[in-house]
Amino acid sequence: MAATRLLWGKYFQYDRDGEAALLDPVALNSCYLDRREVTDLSAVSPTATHDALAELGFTPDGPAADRREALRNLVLDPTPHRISGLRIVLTDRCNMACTYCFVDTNSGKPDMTEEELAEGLRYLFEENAGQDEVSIQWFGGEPTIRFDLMQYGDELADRLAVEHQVKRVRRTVVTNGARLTDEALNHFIRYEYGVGISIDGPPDINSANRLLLGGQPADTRIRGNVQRLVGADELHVGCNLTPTAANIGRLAETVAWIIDTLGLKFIYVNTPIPTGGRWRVNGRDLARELYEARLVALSKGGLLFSVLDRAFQALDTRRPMLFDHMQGDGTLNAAYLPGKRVSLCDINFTEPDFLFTLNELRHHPEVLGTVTKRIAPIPACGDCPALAICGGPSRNEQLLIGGDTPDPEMCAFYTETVEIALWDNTGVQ
Amino acid sequence: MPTPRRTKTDHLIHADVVDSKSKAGVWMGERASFQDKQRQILEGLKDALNWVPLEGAIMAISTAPAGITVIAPNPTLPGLIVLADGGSPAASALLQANGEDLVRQVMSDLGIAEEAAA
Repeated sequence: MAATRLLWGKYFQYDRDGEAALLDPVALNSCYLDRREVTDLSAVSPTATHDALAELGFTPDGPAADRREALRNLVLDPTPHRISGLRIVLTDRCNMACTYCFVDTNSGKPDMTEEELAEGLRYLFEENAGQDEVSIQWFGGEPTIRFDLMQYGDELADRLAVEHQVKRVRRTVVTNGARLTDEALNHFIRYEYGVGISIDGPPDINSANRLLLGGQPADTRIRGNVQRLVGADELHVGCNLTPTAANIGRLAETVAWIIDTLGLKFIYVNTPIPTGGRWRVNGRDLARELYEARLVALSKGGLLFSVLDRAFQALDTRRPMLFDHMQGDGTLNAAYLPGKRVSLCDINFTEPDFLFTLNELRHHPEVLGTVTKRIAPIPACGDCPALAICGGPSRNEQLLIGGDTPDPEMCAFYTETVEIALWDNTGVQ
Repeated sequence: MPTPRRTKTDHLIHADVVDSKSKAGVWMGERASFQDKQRQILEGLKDALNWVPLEGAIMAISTAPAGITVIAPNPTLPGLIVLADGGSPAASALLQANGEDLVRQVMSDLGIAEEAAA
C-alpha cells in the first residue's frame, strides 16, 4: 500500500512496501530508496543516505520556497507567438449523432465556402513563411461530407507552401469512418494523410454513444472501412478513443480489441473535458485504467498515448509539461471556422473569448495571449505533487467550470498519474 | 545509495504529448520516423559491436510490479536469457526472479530437466 508525505517541507515521499520514491515537484527530480535507506533517512542526520541524497540534489536546507512562484520562474513564455496549424472545421454536418460530441452538429449553419477556406489557408502560410512545417487537420462534423473542399484545400496548400517556402504540410483528418469512398482513400494516400478514426471500442461499447443519425449502429461499415485504410501501407491510421461510461472499466479490453480486431496499433485516448461544468469520470480510476491499457497496447505491439504520458515525459526529462494550450515550440494550433473566424482553442468553437476574425489576428497578433494558461492559479496547486505536470486548468477548462478551481476529479487524475509514473521507471514508451 | 530516475529524452513521440490532446491524428506522423530511427540506431550498433541475431525474443510486460522482462533463447548455448528491468531496483530483482521461476515452471511442465550451471 502506498502513502504520501512531505519530506523536509518540500519533497513528496511516496512509501510503498518499505521502499520510497522522492519527488521534487518543481525541478521534477526523483529518486528511489530501498528499505535500508528509508530506515536510514529517518535516523538523525547526517547518515549515508542523507549524504547520498544531497549529492542527488535533495537537501533539507533552505526555506520551503513558494512552489508556484518557483515554477513560474522556471517555465518558458506561456504566450503562443504564432499559429502554426489549423483544425479546419468544414461543416457541422455529420452522419452520426454521438452523445458526447463537443461540436453542435447538424445545426443548419452554412458550411465553409471555397473562398473562406482559401483565405484561412493563405493566412496560415503567410504566418509561417520560411518555416519547416504547417499542419492542417480536416474536421467537422464529419469532414468527408465536404470531401470536395478537402481536395480543393490540399491542392491550394501545396501551391501556398511553394509560394511561402514552407517545407512540409502535415495533413490529418479526423473521421468517424462510416463513409469512405475510393476517391477519398486515394486522396489520403496521395497526400500521405494521418487518419484518426474516432471509435470507442467493440460494437456493444461503440454503439452506446456513437450511432448513425437514424439511430442504428455503424460498426460493420466502420470496420470494413478501417480495413481498407489499414490495408493502404502509405497511410498512418490510428484510433481516437474517448473514455465513456461504456468503456471505462473495460479500457484494457477495448484497447486489445482495437489492436487485435481492427488492426489499429496507434491509439490516442482523448482527455476528459469538463463539459457541463465538471468531469464525468473518476479521475483516479481513469489514470489506473489508462496505465493498464497502455501496457496492454505495448504487449500487443501497439502504442497508446494519453495525457498520462505527460507525467512520464515530465519525470523522464525533468521538464514541466503543463502547457495544454500550445505546442512545445510555442506555436498554436487553432480552429478555423466557417465565416472566416478562428477559435484560439481548437476544442471549443463557441466561446466568444476565443473567437477572432482573420483580420483581427493579422492586425493584433497579441490577442493570441487570450488563450494563455495561468499557471497554478490557486494556492492549493502549490501543495500538489502534479504542480509541474498539470499546472492547473487551461483557459478552456476554467471557462467550462466557471472559475479557477479545478474539478476534484481532474486533481485526482493528475496526482494519480504522477504516482503511477513515479513508480514506473522502465522507460518503455 | 538512492537511485535517481533515469533520464530519458527519446520518447517514441517527441512532440509534447499534450500537443495531441486536442489534435488527434498529428502524432501518427511519428510512426515512420521512430521506426526508421530505431533501424538506423541498430545498424549503427551493429558496426560497433560483436553480435548475433536474437530470434524469437519476447518482451513480457508487468504492471505489478511495473517493468519489462526480455526472455529470449540463447542463440549459442542451451538456455534462455532472462533480463528484467523494473521501475525500481527492488522491482527489477523481483521481475528477474519471477521470470526465472516462470521459465523453470514451464520447463518442468514440458518435462525438460534443468541442469546445474557449470
